Parts: sequence; structure tokens; C-alpha cells
Amino acid sequence: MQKQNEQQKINWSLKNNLMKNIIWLLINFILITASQLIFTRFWWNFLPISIVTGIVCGYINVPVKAFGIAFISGFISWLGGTIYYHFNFAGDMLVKTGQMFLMPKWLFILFIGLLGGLLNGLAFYSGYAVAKQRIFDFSRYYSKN
Amino acid sequence: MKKNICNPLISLGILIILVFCLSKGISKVPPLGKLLNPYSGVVQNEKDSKFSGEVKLSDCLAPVNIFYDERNVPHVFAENDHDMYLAQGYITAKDRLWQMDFISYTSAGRLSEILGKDYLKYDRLQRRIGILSSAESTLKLIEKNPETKLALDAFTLGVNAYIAELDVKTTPFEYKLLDYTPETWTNLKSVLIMKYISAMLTGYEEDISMTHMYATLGRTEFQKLFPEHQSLDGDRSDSRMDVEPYAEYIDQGFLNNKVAVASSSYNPRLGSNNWAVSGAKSKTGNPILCNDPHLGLMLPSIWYEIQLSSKTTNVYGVSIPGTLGVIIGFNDKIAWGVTNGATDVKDWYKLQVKDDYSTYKMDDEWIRTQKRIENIKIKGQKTFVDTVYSTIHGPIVFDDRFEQDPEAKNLALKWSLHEPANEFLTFLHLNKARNYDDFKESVSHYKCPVQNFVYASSDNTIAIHHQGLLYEKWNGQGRFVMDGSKKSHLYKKAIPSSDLPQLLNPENGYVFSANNFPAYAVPPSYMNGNYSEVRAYQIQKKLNEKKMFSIDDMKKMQLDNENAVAAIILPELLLSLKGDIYKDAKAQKTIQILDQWNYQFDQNSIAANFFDQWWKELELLTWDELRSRQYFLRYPDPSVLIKLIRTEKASVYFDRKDTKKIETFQDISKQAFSNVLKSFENKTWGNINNVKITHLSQIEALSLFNMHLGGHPDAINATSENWGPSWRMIVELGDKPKAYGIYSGGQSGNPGVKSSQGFVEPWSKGQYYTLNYYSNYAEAKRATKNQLVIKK
Repeated sequence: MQKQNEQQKINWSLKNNLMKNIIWLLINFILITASQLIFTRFWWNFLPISIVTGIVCGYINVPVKAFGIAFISGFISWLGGTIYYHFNFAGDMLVKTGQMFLMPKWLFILFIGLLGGLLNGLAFYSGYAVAKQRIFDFSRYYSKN
Repeated sequence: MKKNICNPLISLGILIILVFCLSKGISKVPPLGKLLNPYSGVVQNEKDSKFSGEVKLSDCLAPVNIFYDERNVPHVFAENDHDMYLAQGYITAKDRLWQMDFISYTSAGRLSEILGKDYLKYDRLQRRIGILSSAESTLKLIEKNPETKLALDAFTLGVNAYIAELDVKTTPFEYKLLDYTPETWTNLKSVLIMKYISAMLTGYEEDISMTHMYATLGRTEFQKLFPEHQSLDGDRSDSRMDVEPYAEYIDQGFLNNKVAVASSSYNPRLGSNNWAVSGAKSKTGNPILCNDPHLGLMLPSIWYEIQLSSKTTNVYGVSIPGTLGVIIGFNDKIAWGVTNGATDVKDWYKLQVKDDYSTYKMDDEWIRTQKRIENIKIKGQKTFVDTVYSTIHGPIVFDDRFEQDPEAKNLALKWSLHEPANEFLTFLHLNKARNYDDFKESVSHYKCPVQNFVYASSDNTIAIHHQGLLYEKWNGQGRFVMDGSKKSHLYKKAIPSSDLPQLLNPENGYVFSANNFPAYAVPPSYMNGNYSEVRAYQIQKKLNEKKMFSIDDMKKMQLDNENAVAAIILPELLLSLKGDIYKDAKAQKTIQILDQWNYQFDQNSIAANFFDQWWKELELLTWDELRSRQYFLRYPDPSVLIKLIRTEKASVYFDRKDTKKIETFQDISKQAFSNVLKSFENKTWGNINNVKITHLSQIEALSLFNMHLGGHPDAINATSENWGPSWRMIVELGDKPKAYGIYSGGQSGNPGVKSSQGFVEPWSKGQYYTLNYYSNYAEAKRATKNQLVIKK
């Protein structure tokens, strides 16, 4: 009985963690994609957003696979954006740019996705890991005496 | 718990390094971050620009309506000239901004600013040959004329209005790739583009090589091998070398004999065609004008189709992106076209100059040079400062500090491109010309490059003018390097426009040019140039063959692949093959194919391929004496070899240097035939004539390769390698002009959209589009679906 209870607790915990990973993946995805749609001045403008999101996530101690979820959200954002615009505009640029890098179109698109994932993953993880270390611990300013 | 800050710091460090590298690019790798971000990078360039809607430009005086037809050709209808040119600037920039900007950088010698120090040598050369300085002085002249000042200012405003609208997403792809942004357009940049074209068409010269040849061969042999010009069949030649004096100052010691002449990739024979027939030779009774300028095939094309209409003008044709008006085209009354005049306008003067370049000798005087400081910015590095010394002749291009071409060291360059001239006025006036008098007035402003302007008008007038800045010369002057220390070698007087070769309404009912010598008129003075008679011979033959022409006949003529050299000389070559060779089965088959051949360099012709190789091998074996000389630049004109074959079969030139036997033409011809036969693989001409259209950036992925086409440099359809009919146009003038045309590219310069190469396939197949000339706004509105309105 005790074992069953413990097993149930573990399963619930896993499901809970999975849900938290998915939620923070979505939050990160929405924020980085929206920032890139709105602010196009700098190509890297989504990275500070991702760092801050990571800091918040780490600070409130959400147990997530930081690099993993941010990699997936960055991958989907860049891959999805590339595919969407390519089909919407029906142009040739990806084919030609891929040729310049000696890659066929689909491999090139995959490469773009991987790059977006890598950058986003590093950014989110950096913020998350710093926050988790409590390097800047503000709690002493508001903890009870 | 110990704080472990290493991991996040390492992660952050890697991220910062990655962002830095992806923002700047490393070595030849472009800034990948900027390029690949889907929300601002290259995939955004797959979106075509808009052809409908409204654009607000504060400098616009009244609404301008631009109707785009099915091929995205803009038809501009404006209330006044200012708005017409403003609109031209705006929409040309919309389609071709990077192209015009990049050409202006190239022309000005500013490539190092965007591409780095690898281009410093190129930039130094551009500055030293005087392109930038001549553009600046030309601009001053152009801006003194109120008409061109108004037009140019309006055009510049239009371009800058478009640039102001750009953001990171919509910036053209090439800027993202090369990591720079468009700068403000200026009037100077438009002038630089005109100078770029002038330089392209007059840049070739062979003064140094010919000087050495003359000094070595002596007058008689030089006259035989390099006459000023000669008919293709060798029957008529004009060499002024019989007339004294002729280059008597040249001897073996005149130039430094120790250095080789740099080869040039430009072949002046790969030129253009134009012709016009009067109503008397036209099936409809209306005159027909045809033009196909042959230029380097590139993407985006050098041409941009446009119609421009205001209260004073309603013209259709092709413009050069970055410059004003229509360059080749027609209105409801006249049509005109151009070919390169090929007359020599670029000369070298040998100087006696002090070691520090402070002074140079002219007769008994020492004259101070003028100095110009050129600051060449280099991307990521310190600005390079160069000093260019100039003389009364022109700049000293190569000196102790810039020895790129040692054989030209301490020679001054005189080039008509250096003379300020208002070529823009020519085209602004041509665009609204109504008759021959207007045409004459328009072309009188034209100086460089020398062009053959062919003309036709609805009142059944046809004409041709060999137009440009030419000087009265003594015999041989300008053909060789001249003595820069003698005042007698200076040009004295420019020839007035009215005295230049021209022909009006000839009895035979046609005019034509194909970079040949303008033999239709007595030249006012000695004229030399890089003339070619091959295509001219063929055009004249075709115009004489038929009494009446239709538009379809003209299309066939422009696409004609017959090689005039083959037609004249192949029978002689076949005659020379008597004896043992006939017993060989492969030889017999080859001879049979050649015998039945129609001299057409069609894509699927095996005979064409064989003949081309046979002729080249024959030239190789014949001219071995010349090839062995270090200042050898090119073979004599084909007409020289044709004349030798026909009249001097035992000429010393057929005797090979590397054998003891004394060969004649028959021996050489058989030898050449055997040499080619040994390695011949029965490939068609199309397999050999591999045409490519190269992107301006030289990037292969943006270029088109492996187009196996018909055509030959010696045929009217002179399509070869990377050169060919950049624009084909046929106009019949009647109550309303009927016109057909095509160029090898697409209206958009954006390589991300399919329409940027949309015309290439039909062009390669010899097809034509109907050119939509709308007489008025209402007609354009009815006929088109897309309308862009520019208003205040």
C-alpha cells in the first residue's frame, strides 16, 4: 500500500513536471516569437527575452529541463517561421541560399531550426541557471525578521 | 549548498560569442544570424514587392499613376516631368536598388568599403583611370542645365523616398548577405552609372600591343596583318598607312620591350546589331527598326523595361537602373536604337616625367603635374590614401607606387570618358523627339561612348549617326602609344556633330550597324577603332536578299545563326582536303556533314562545332609567329586570314616555325583538320556553347549556368559564353507603334522571387513579348490590373 502510494506520488510528480515543462515551453515560444514579429531591428532581440524568462522560471523554482524546452521552442519558432514564410511567399531564396551553403533546401531549413534552438536554449538556460543559484538573492530584503 | 556559477557563465559566454560571430560574419562566411532569422532574414526576401496600392511621397507635386502589366512592366502616367522622374526613381529602386547602388560603388572605386581590402587594387585602378573624378566634373556640367538638373533631382528624391521606407525585413537580400545598408542616393551616383557603361564599352584598347607589333613587324607587314578595317571577304581594305606621315616616331626603342602585355578578357567583337528599313522595304509600308545590344549577360539585367508619360513625353523602352529616361526605345512618332561605335577613344601617351612625378616634359618645357588625393575607405581598416598625378593628356595610371601593369608605367591616359558631357540630355530629348530634326538635336549632346544611333520615324525617315566625341587626327594618331612629350601629338580640334559620319534616307531603303566601320560616309578625319565587319557583312547580305520585310522576318534575322566566316571560307577549306584523308571513314563522314551544312550555328549542329574548332586550329597554326611574341594580344581579324587563303596560299604565314618543311595553306588546313578530327567527339554546338548569366555579385547560386544555346560571335545572334543580346527590340512605326522585345532577366532584381529570371527561358528560345505601349492613362487603366498611385 505504501509502495503504491509512493508510486502514485512519483507518477503525479512526473506528470506535474511534464506539464510545467510544456507550459514554460509555450510561454517561452510565445514570447520569443512575438518579440521577433514586433521588434525586427536586431536579429537577436529574442535572446534577452529568453534570458529574462529563464531568470523568472528559475527564480520561482520551477523544475524544468531549461535547455531542452528552450531548444525545442527556439527550434519550432525558427523552423516554423521559415517554413511559413517560404510557403506563403512562394519564393526561391531558401533554395539559393541553401546552395550557397552547399545544402539542399530541407536540410538548410533544418539547420535554421537547429540554430534557433541552440541560441534560445543557451539563453534560457543561462538565465534559469543563474536564478537557480540565487547569486542575487533578494529574499533577505523582504524576509520576516 | 555551494553556488555553481560556472555552468551559467559558460553558457552565457558561449551565447555571447555565438551572437557576435553570427552578427559579424567570420572570414568569407556572412553574418548568419541576420541572414537566417526567419522574421527579418533572407526568407523575408521571398516576398515580391507590391504592385498596387498607394504610396505617399511628400515631394510629389500631383498624383502619379503607375500601371503594371502582366510582366510587371511599369507604365508611369504623371502630370509633369518632375513627378515622372520622381516615380521612375522610386519604382526603379523598388525593383533594382541593390544593383544600381552596387554599380555606383563599383564605378567609383569604393568596393573596399563594402567588401574589404581584397578589392583595394581594383579600387585604386578605378580611381587612377579617372572614373570618379570625371563623374564629379560631369555632374557639375549636368547640373548647370536646368532640364537635367530638375530631372536628376526628382529621380534622386524618388530613390531616396524608397530607401527611407526600407526596414530590416524589406532590405534587399544582397545587402543582408554582404552586411551593409543602402546609403542615400545622390545625383553623382546616377552619373557614375553612366560612366560605368561608358567604361564597359570603351575600355578595350590595344595601343601598347599594336605599338610593339608595328615596331617589330615594320610598316608593310603590319599593314597586311592589321589594316584599320577590311571587308570580311578581304576584297576591300582601308589602311591609311600608305599615307605619310604615319607613326614615324615609333621604333624598337620607343616602348620598353622587356615586359609582356596583360591580356584582356574583353572581346570587342562581341558587339551589337541595329538596322532600320524604310516603308519601301516593309510589307506594311511602315518603317521597321531593330536593335539588339550585346552586353555581358548578367542578373539583374542591365536593362529595365518602363513606359514614361507626362505632358511632354510618352516613351517606352529600356532604361538603365539608376539613370534617367529610356535609353533604347520608341514613342508614337520615332524609334531609335544603339550599337557600340567601336571607334577608339582611349589613348596612351608616353611621358618624360621626373622621378617624383612633380613635372613632365612637353617639347622644351617642364610642366607641373596636377595632384589628386584619393581616400579609399576599407571595411574594418584604416583608409588608404592614394595620390594620382595628372598631365594635360590625363592621369598617370601606373607609376612607382602602383605597378599593376608594368608595360603601361608612366603613360598618361587620355579617354573621352574624362570629358564632361551631358549624355542625360540626349535621352531626355530623344524620349520626346517627334522627327529627324529633334533626333539630330538630341544626339548632338552625346559624347561617350561613341555609338551608332539608328533612327526611324512614322513619316518614313530612316537614318544612322556615328555619334560621340571624336577629334581630328593625323594618320595613325591614337592607334599607337603616342609621344606625350610632343605638342604635335595633342589632339587639336573636336569634330562637330554635323560632320560625323551619318546617313539619311539612303536609296537602298535601309541603314544598319554592327560595330563595323561607318563606311557609308566619308570620315572627316583619320578614324581607327576595334571594328568588326563580320556581322555587318551578314546583316547587309540579309537586307539585300529580300525586297520586303515583315516583323516576323526581322525576328528571324535577329535570331539568325549563320556564321559569315564559315559561309565564305568553308568551301576553300573543304577544297584543300584532297588526298589520303578522304579514305578515312570518320574523315569522310565529317566532310560529308560539313559539305551539307547550312553554316548555321544552331544548338543541335555537329558541323558547327567541328568548323569552329577547325577554324581556331587553323588560326593557331597560321599565326604561330605572332603568338610567340610577348606583346601578342589577339590574332589578326578573320578577314586577313580569309584574304590570305583566297589570294596567297603560299604565304609565309602558313609556314610553321616548328617544322623544317615549308608549309602552304593546304598543308596547314589538312593539319588543322586532322588535329581536330583526332579528338572530336561528335558533340553538338549547343554542348560547347554553354551560356551563363552571372549574378552581379558573382555568386554561383544566384547565377544561371548550363544553357546550351545556338548562336556565335560571328553570327547576327552573337550569343556565346557570357555575352549576348541583352535586349532584342523590333518596332514598326505606323498609326500606332507595334513593338516586340525581350531581355535576358526579369523586371525584379530580387533573386528571391521567381520573376527575377522570368524572361530568361523565353529569351533563350528566341521568343518575343508584345510591348504594351499605352497612348494615355485611360488605355493603360483598361488594359492592366495593378495600379500603384504615388501622391503627396
